[in-house]
Parts: sequence; C-alpha cells; structure tokens
Amino acid sequence: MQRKARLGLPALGMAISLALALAGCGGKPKSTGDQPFIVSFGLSEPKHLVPSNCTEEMGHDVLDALFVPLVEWDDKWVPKELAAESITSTDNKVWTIKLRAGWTFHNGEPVTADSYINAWNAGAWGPNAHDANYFFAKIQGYDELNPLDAKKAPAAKKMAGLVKKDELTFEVTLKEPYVNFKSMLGYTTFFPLPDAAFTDVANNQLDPAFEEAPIGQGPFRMQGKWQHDSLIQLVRYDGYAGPVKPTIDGIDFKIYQTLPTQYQDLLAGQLDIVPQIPLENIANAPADLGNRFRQSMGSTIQILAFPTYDKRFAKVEVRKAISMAIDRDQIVRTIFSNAQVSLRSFVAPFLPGYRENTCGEACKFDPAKAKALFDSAGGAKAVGGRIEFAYNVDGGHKPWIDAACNQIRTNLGVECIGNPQPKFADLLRKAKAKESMGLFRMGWVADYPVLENYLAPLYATRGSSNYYGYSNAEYDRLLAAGDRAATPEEAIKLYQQAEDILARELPVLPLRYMQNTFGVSTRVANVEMNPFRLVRWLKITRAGS
Amino acid sequence: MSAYLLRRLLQGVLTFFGATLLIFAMMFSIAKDPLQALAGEKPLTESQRVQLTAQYHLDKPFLTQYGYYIRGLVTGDLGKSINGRPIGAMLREAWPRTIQLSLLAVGIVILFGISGGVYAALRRGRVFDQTSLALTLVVIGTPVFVIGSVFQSVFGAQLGWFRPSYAAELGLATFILPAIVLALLSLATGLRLTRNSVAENLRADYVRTAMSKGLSRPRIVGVHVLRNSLIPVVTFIGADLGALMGGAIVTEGIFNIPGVGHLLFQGIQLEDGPRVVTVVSLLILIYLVTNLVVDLLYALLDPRIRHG
Repeated sequence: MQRKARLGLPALGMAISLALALAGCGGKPKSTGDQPFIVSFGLSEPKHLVPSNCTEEMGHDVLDALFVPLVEWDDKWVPKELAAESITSTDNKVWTIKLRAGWTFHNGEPVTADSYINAWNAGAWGPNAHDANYFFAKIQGYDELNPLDAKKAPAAKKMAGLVKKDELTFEVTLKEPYVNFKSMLGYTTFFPLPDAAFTDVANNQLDPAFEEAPIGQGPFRMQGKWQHDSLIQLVRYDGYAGPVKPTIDGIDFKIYQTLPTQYQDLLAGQLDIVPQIPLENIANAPADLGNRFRQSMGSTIQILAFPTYDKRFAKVEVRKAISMAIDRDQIVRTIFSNAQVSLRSFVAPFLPGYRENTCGEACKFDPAKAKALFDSAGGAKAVGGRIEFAYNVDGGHKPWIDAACNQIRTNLGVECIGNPQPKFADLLRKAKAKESMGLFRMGWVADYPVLENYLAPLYATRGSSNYYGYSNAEYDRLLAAGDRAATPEEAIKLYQQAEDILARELPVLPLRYMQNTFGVSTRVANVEMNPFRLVRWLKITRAGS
Repeated sequence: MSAYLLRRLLQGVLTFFGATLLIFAMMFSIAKDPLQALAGEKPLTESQRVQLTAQYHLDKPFLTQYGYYIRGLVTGDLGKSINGRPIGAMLREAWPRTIQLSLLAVGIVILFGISGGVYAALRRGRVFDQTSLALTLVVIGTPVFVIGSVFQSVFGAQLGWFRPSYAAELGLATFILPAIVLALLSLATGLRLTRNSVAENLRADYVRTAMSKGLSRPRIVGVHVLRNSLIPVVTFIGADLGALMGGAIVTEGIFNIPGVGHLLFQGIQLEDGPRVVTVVSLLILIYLVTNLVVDLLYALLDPRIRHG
C-alpha cells in the first residue's frame, strides 16, 4: 500500500532505518547541470483540480501551472491576449473570442472553440454543483442551467450565450454589457477542457477520474496522478505553444497539513518555496532567511462588518466611533510584524482605480474624538453595554481581535469582548439567521484585478458575500452604471463614486490588507508572486544561472 | 476458551453498532452546515447548495441518514467524503502510514521501556535509576506538541539528521523521528511501570525460593520475574497500540504524515459526518481486537488466569 516503501523489512530494525534517514538527508537534490531542475512548492491539499470547481488558492497554484488563461494581465493590470489571438466587442455585451492556432492539450488534443464552450457549460451546469459556478452567471442562458429546485431538471443543457463560429472562434453573449469581461477571462474558471475530461459532453458529465490527473494546455503537465495529502508532480510540457517557455524542468507541489512544517522544511533545505510564512515565524524569518525572505503586494483585505439587522449599530456615529478607536498601525506592528498593512479604503491597493484613504477621518486613529462621538451617540448604553467582535477560531484571528477589543475598551470606555465561533461557516449561519453576535470579521481576496471584484460581492445589495445585509440603491445604481460603461477608465470613475458612498455610510470597517510574505531556498532565483499569491512559474530560474 | 472468544466477538458486534450510532448522532448534531464549512470563506450559490444538499441527503432526518450510512457499510461501500473522494480509498492510503508509525513507536517503547525499566529495578537507587526517574518525569510533564516541534526544529532543521517532514521516498526511515516523539511519552510510562513491577517482584517469596534453589540470577530475572512483571506492562502497551492506531493527531500534524489522525482531524474540521463516522468505527474495531489480544496474552503470561 505504501506508495514508495522501499524498505520492506521493518524487522531489520532501527539501525538500518537510522542509517537510511541520515543518508536521505545528506543527499538532498543537488542541481548539477544535466539533472532536471525541479522546484518544490509548499501546498495545502486542494479540494478539487477542475478549473470551474476551484475557487481556492491551493487549487489555483496547481491549475495555474497546468493551464494558461485567455488573457494575462500586464504590469498595469490591463488584460492582454495570451491563449486568445483577439477578444473584441463593440458593445461589451457580445464578445468575440478568437483563439491562437496550433495550441494543444497535454494529451495531444488540439485546443478549439469547443474546448472552451464545453468546459464553461459544464461549469455552469447546476447539477455539477461546481464551486465557481457563479462566475458564469453573467452569460446569457446561465439561469436555465441552474434551477433552484434540485428535483427539477434544468430547462437547458447549454448556455444560449455561447456560440461556436468556427474551429477557433466563439461568441459570448452576456445578459448585460460588462466592461470588465476581458479582464475577468484571466481567472482560473475560464480555462478550457479537453474532450478527455468528459464522459458525456452533451450532458455536461465530467469524468470523476479527470481531476486525479488534469490535462491542460499550459507550460507544465501532470507526472503521474495526484497523490492526495502528499504530492502533485508536474513536468515541463514540450508542446506548450505560449510565447514564453519555462526554464525549469518541473514543479513538485508538496502537500502539507500545517504551515510551520513547511517553514521547517525550508530551513532544512527540503523545500524551495514557502508561499506563506506562518505568523509564529514571521518575527524571526528575516533573520533566519536573510534575503530569501520576500514580500510582495497581496490582494486579501480584512474588514469588520456591522450586521444591519443589529440595531445597536444603526447609527453611523457609533460605527465611526468604533473605527476611530482602533489603532490599525499598532496592531499591524505588534501582532503582524508588518506582514500586513493598515487599510483605509474599501478595496485592495494593487487595483487600478484604488485611492488611498477613501475612508478619511473615520479610519484615522483619534481616541479623544472617538470617545466624544461615541458618548454623543448614546455611549455604552446605546450598544447594550458592550461591543462584541465575532471571529472564527480556526483562522488565527484571536490575537488581533483581542488587541482591537482592548483598544475599544480603553478608548471608548465600553466593555468589549471577542466572540469566538468554531468556523467561518458558523459566523455565516448566525448572520443568515439574524442572530446577535456583534461585529464580525471577514476577508476578501480578488479573483481578477478590477475594483468591481471587491465592490460588487462585498457591498452590493445582492452581492454574493454581503452577509451583513448592506443595501443602498444609489450604490447599486453606480456599480451597475460602471459595469455598463464603455471603457474600463469610465467604469473606474463610477466605481469610485460608489466607494465614496461606503466611506460615508461605513457598512464595514476596513482594517488591513495582507502582503504576500514568502520564503525561498538558495536553489531558486527570480521568484515572483503576484497579488493573487500565484508564483510566476515562467519567470523563475535556477539560482546562479 | 472458544465459548469465551465467541462471547467476546458478539459483544464486539454490539459495541460496534452502538458506537457508530452514537458517533453518527454526535456528528449529526455538530454538523450545522457542512457545505459552507467546505466552502470556507467563499460564497456558495443557492443552486449549488440545493444540488449538494440533495446529493448528500443533508435534508433527510437523522435516522434516514443513518440508514443510508449503515446500508453502505454493510454492502462494503464506505461512502463518499463531502469533497467527493471515496472514503475507502482515503483509508487505504492513510492506514499503512499510521500502522508503520505506531508499530515503530511501540517497538521503541518495548525495546527501551522494558530493558530500561528492568535495568533501573536491578540497580535501584543508583545513578541510572535516579536519572531515568527524573527524565521520565520531565517527559511526562511536557506536552507532545512541544517535544515534537523542538525535535523537528533541532534534529530536523538545525542538525539535519532527519528530514523535518514526511517523505514517501524514504520508506520506513521517514517515520523514525516522529515515532521517537510518539514513543517518548509511552516510553516514560512504560519504563516506570516496568521498574516498579520488577522491583516489587524481586522482593517476592518465589524469588527467594528460586535463589535458595541455586538458580542463576539471569534466569531468575529473565524468566521468573520478568514474566510475572509484564502483565501490567502488556496491558499498558496493548491499550497504547490501540490509541496510536487512531492516528496521533498532533504528531502526524507536526511531521506532516498523511495518516489516519490527519484524516480524522480534517473530517471534523469539515463537519464531514460520513468520514468521521467511518474512521472512528474502524478505530473501535481495532480497539476491540487489541483488547481481546491483550486479554488472551494474560493467560499466556500468568497460568493462574484462565478464560472460561
């Protein structure tokens, strides 16, 4: 059973195994000229490896090496065609996507318009219940594939908005014009699938065995199968048609249960890239790693949300007072050793259209003013005698929640306690049931580099992650107007006006954004990580080469 | 003897089903929203929710869900985990790792615990006895995650004697460091247990008789004393093996061993009822078997004990 149990005789005992262990450590993979150069990367077990069924970083890390998107974003986050030759639209509603010729999947199948159409239909097909299903909701015909009653069969099998024009061209019709659609196509969900992924294309049936060894059209292909909870091996795909070829020979995604173990393996020279240095090691990491300790701009923001059903926070003065009583900079310094940065806007700083400090005075630490504001709004009595910060205990949030609560207690003179919940799902359940739990924490990570990717899901009335029930008609109108704008630049102006409403109404308190804080081994060079926490595999090289 | 065995096995079947029902009920009561637990902080669409609810029978009442589960179990289908993987395959991968780890750990306990205990008892009050007593006290008082993390950092990352984490290509060797960590606690208890048991038996009447008969000291200690002293130790090690088979959640976590402990921990985190119930049911089976074996061993060690 043991996959590579070379030592079949346990009875040989300690002596031999000890010798083996020592030998095993002494001879760590050296990068001599003719040996393949394989880079190892610390991963957590992904849930799924089908593009349309994957919305988490762990899966993205692997899929991003197996596939390439239709567009890639340049330094200014403008989408540029990659697997596509051209993506055009006259009205932002009907988009014509023409693919580059000569691309093949790892199994030799050519990449055609059908590869995309089939993959997207399967992703949107309700009964498949894929995690990224909602990304297709903008396409015409999506609703027919997604009945809200599981006993009913969907009214259609294919989205009407996807039409094949020729072998390499297809047309996408959206329900409404959407100016950011081209940028959105850079996201994982929109990868194509080969015929080999399906058992029945007509009925959107995927082969369950496909994700054990996914087949993409990207620079790396699977070597063997997904070894669950232990290893995913990729090697360079020589038939890759993209303009830039990888210089490394392969990637070993080593799967870990905990981050600290990854860090120990990095120190021991057994792992090349640790994509996230665990909080407990961050203080020592610069000393441990020297210039192998790296930071780059991230996209995750952390906020505290006020449930609108909780009348204690109905007054904007109360919300503002709480915000002004929190010293964001101190928390970032003392708890996060500057691995996270204070945030005073409602979106992440890397985005085009981001403006610093849109939150204005409300996010400025001013205990005296906060106290005055709080008292004039009714003081401790108005919030029922105490303020609670609800959080999920499995995410390592306790230290900063406690620190923020201490600041509230000191600066506002009101009792403040953390309200721990086992999982984030428990927070959501309480929010849905409108149960009182105080403010609750939330994080948001971008999928594609557009302001709307934060502003719509988090704050729009029907936003997918607007669990606190914020609703403002003017805000919704501005967002919709932004989506229908003729150019991304015009859209940004409208989105910014929408963000200004958030600054006035404070439905949530922006607190921090996360930086990518990662560590690399001495073997690798040019390790770059983008705000989506993805390593740029085509840029990475062998150290000293 | 065979009547005794039969009775024990029948008891086992009853215990097994009773326990699965209990665990199923417990998981049922804590699993408020397994679909969202699996989705983490990502949103779940209404259409996805209705589909998955139907596929996993999440809307059915408790007894119906239990019925589905037992029907699968009886037909040899261990069911699917909430993330879609067959539980049977997960167990087939995880169990060999946990078995290797726990057998290695128990081997260390037997080798060093018993020999050290006997040596300490024979040299009572001398340097080895005193230092081993002090050391075992320290080990017993230290939480396993402290020992594990320190060993990993010192012997793994700093000295480089071992890999800090599980590496399948090293075979059994990869389990040595975690097995030592896992064994240390039981080693300390086993050593003290053996020492006291042997020390007590050395003062027994039959030892004096054997000595006056002129038997050699190695024979007295090796055959007579040891055999009588091992009963509590065997009980202890038997129970310990059962516990270790359940996967040492902390040790497996620190050393990244994808074993049963990890499977169970992940299952509880994801509110994955079928997975947790299956793993725990199998653990119960293992406990039942090890207990039976330990009881049968008693009769071998002490002829006065007879199972009838």
